[in-house]
Amino acid sequence: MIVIVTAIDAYAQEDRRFLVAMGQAEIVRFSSGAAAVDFAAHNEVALALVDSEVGDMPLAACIAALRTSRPGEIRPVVAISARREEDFVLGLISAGCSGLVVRPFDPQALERHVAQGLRMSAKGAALQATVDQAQGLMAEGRFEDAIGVLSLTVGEDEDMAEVLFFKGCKFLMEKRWSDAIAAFNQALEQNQAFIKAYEGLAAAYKGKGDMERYQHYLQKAAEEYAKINKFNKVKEIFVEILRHDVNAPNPYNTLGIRLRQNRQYKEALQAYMRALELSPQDENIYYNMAKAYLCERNTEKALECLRQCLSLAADHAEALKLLNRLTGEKSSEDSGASPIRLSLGG
Amino acid sequence: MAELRACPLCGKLVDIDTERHNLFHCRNFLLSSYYAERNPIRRKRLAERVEAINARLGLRSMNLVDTDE
Repeated sequence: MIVIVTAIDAYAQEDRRFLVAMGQAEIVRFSSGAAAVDFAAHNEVALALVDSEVGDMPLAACIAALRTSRPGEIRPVVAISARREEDFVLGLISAGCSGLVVRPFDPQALERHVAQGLRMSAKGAALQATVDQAQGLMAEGRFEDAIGVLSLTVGEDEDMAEVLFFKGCKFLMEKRWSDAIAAFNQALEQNQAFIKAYEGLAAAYKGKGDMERYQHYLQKAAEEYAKINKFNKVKEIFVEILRHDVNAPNPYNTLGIRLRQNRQYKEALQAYMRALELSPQDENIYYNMAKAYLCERNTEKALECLRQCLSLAADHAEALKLLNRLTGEKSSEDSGASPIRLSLGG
Repeated sequence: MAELRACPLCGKLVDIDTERHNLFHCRNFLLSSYYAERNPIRRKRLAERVEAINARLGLRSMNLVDTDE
């Protein structure tokens, strides 16, 4: 079923006409965002088409609520709007829209986004069918077969979701909105697949009485859940940086600092790696990386980064101070005298 | 009660009893303003102030330094 959400009757008719022409028969229209979210929480919704004229809530809020209206499922939501300002688009991407069409729209563009959203839904359904099949096998006591079925899903590269996610960030920086949305969607699909498969594998190993592997896969599923939350947080921060720091030469560096301060050390380091790809000779990125490595208690890597930093800026006072602290040498004065203390004669 | 003073170099209000504020903090404060500044004249002025501090610190980068503990 496809849900159309718009307060404007003419838009609803137009959207419905296009969907019918695409062969879609089950279409429900809501003029209020809250009513649509409530409906989606209790019904099978393959895709939601949301207009910026929702009325009772901002478009971004409506998207965020619709896509997570059912626990454990992420619904594809395509936004249709006459607005195309960068700030507005970034807000929609941050909210997790799976497609964006500018009104008045080219029917082919709408068709492409709807088809993409439905494909996402179908993939989710196929994954669910695999999990159901595995559960059926488990009910018959065929745990090995269930493990075999589910292992196929997790046979792919575990880091693929991260690669896709940061690809999305890169596209955001390049203002390639559609590509960014597609990359974020793919990362999310990957996460979801791993979660379902790991949960299934945990249940299968529990059935077999292998409690060690049961715990292992439960932990893996929890890590994937955490990854989705972390990715969402990283995306929110990155969008905020792109919106606000319009002249920042390297938004990944700012992202790294924010993530390090949020104690997301692994993600911070990933952001710094990307920052170095943009500015490979930047002394401050190396210094910032050293701090993140230190937070991760990786002193060796921290020292390596500090030395890199000092090879680029031999007088970097903060780096020298940290290096001295790590190597046990006597620390110098605070990095650069305080301009306030100097003005007070201190 | 916190004793706040404006830094003579960057203008940031600093609690002089509890807040660490050195040239790196001044640089970060000015850089953050530079990043968000849309007016080209003000942006150029801010860039010059950052470059002046960079020269004192022996830096070339226009990226922020993680100064928080």
